[in-house]
Amino acid sequence: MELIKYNKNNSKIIIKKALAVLKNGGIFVFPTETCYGIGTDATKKSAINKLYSYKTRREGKPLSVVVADIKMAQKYVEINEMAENLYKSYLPGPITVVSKGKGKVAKGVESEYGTLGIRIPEHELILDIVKNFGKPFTATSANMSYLPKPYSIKALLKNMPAKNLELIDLIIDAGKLPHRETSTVVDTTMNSLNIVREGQLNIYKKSDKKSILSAQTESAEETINFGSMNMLKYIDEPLSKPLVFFLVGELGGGKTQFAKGIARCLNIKDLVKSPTFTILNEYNYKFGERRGKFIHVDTWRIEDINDLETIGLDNYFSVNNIIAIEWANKFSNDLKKKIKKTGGKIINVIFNYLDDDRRAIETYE
Amino acid sequence: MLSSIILTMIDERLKLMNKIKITSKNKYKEAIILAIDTSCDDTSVAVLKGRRVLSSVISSQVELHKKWGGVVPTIAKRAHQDNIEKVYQEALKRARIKEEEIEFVAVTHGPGLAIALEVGIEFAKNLAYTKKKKLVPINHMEGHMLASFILNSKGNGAIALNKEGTVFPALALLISGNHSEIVYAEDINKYKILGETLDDAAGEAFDKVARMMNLGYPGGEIITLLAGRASSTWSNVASGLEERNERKPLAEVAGRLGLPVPMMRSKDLNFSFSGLKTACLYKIKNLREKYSEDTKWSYDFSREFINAVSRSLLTKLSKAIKLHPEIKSIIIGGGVSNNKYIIREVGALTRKTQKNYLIPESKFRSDNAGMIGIAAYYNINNLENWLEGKKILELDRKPMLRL
Repeated sequence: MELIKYNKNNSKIIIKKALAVLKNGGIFVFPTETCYGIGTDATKKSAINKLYSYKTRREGKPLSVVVADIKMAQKYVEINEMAENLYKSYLPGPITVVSKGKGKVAKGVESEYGTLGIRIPEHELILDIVKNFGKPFTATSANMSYLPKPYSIKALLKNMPAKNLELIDLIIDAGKLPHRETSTVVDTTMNSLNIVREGQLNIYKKSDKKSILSAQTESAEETINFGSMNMLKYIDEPLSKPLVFFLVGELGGGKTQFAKGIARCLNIKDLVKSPTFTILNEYNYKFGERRGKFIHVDTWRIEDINDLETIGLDNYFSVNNIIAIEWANKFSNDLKKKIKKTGGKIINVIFNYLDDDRRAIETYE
Repeated sequence: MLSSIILTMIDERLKLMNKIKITSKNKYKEAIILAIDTSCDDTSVAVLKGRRVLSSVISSQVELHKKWGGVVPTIAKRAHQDNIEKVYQEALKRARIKEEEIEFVAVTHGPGLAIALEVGIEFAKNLAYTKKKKLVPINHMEGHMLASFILNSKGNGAIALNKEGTVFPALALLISGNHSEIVYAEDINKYKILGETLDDAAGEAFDKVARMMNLGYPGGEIITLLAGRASSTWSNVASGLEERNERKPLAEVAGRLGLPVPMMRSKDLNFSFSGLKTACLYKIKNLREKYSEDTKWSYDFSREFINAVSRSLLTKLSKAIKLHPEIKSIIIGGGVSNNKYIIREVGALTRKTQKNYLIPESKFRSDNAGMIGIAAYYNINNLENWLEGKKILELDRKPMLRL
């Protein structure tokens, strides 16, 4: 193991040494704009295995990798619009952007779901090394599992067992690094715009029936009233089957306000708040002789239809229950199948912006 | 004569009862409490000895997940029983406590997502019932409320032992991904919600606006990072708005981009972030069209968005302080208070009021089990609020529980 102190004048020598280590499948410790990281050739199986014996407890978790720029990143991951945005506005910087991998790194680097974290550190020396190397190397923090993130080599080496120390080939010591939090990990594989848009179109195409109610609302209060109006239309029908509202529209379109309106019509006194975080909120309602549950669901944070089963949504598709699902278009086909089985009725509610306060809302059966 | 004997006897009896009460109170001051929180995306377990948190483990730190730990909220994973067992074992290990030493098992029974709450509750019930421990159900929000009372493993913290009395009555601003509340705390365990969000929570607004900016999930933190790159002129513009004119109301815009500060005109103490969300959507569309490839607008925008949220929180908090001049302290809790811009302004406001300012250590602001443990400590010692024997099996989740 070699330890070399980094100063502004010896970067050429350091780059040379780091490249030699990387080419031999070795491991080196390097400074970043956050804490010290540990790097090895992300495309070489033996190198990754060596890293895994250093970081003992990382079973199954993907490693993030350092690349030089977006061009290099594109060779290893699929960069969608969301990811591109992050690269443009923030990288190089302390963010790890997770994208769908192309399977071009060694086994165990990508997650089992095929995702990979990309890091472009705001650190000249590291960018020079990766540019010269021409391939990504790993960017995990240099500490052993369960130990604090290291901001100095002294802290890193304190109490390190000889077994682990032996695995390191080179340490680039840049002294005590300023204490900046480790990089924020952002997943861009989730909630992709394309999926959402496609779903929305589906609903339009498949609904050959005419709009049953439509309104231009001028305020949140009017959207609430329109929600009540829609609910009122069905409240007198014998509800022997569940009634499900599919609420479809962009963020801030008025979906939660509409749901508040349904609740108001159902005499629910509890405050109906956005279920984004809890995913599913349950209220009891009583309207005349009818009693049941009003279920307010938000699938915004949900990626997988199975998750809706896990939270028990299926159990709620029953007699007298009224269910409002925000972002239902994400899973419209699956949901339709489920609801059909129960004989339930679906009302599609489409929200469109006109301007700051005004919305065009249409409902279809 | 006889009556005086009886009176003396009663007197003695009362003294004895008081004594018993005192000893029973002290009995739990150093109790080992195991605390569990599964109301959020993470599974958290902590071990406390009295008010001291010996260990506090969150599933995303333990790297249990096959995918990116804790980032993608896959509920199926949250519901996975394996997680909690591993986190539990790790918490015991780090605290150097054996299962036999646990006297109380505290668990969040609401509010939160039903299916997630159930995982923690089932685990806690099973442990308490089979191993004969006392079960303490805790309201997650009381956890946020009392997180400032946590002592570290060496016994250090903001409020020393037996000094709790100096804190109350107090006002609490609890801001997280799921909640934005102003709470009046007459004393520990005596709360009243004065104001809350009518739609989206503060933390939720962050994630949603980040999504509109196409910044991935969770994007709240990214907005804060981007705000750090705001132009120097931004702060000038903002501080221009800061100039208070006693006769005029506070400016209703958050900066030169004209984002509205939510609920400035409402007279109550409630919050609402859905209007700001809509305004952001429009502003983002405009800025995108105007600057097309150049994304630098996002820096100033992020800073102004944070300013809008923070000013809304601050306005309502200062209104609450004016309505309740008798309070001795201002308590902060919840993950959004980790936002450096927001906390800087909340801190400045509280210092001006000369009240005690209680804010938990950073890691106890966002959801964690340590805060459930400290809330349990007070439920045990002040209220003797726990379940034993068969009663344990009756505990059920309360997804919509309120303070």
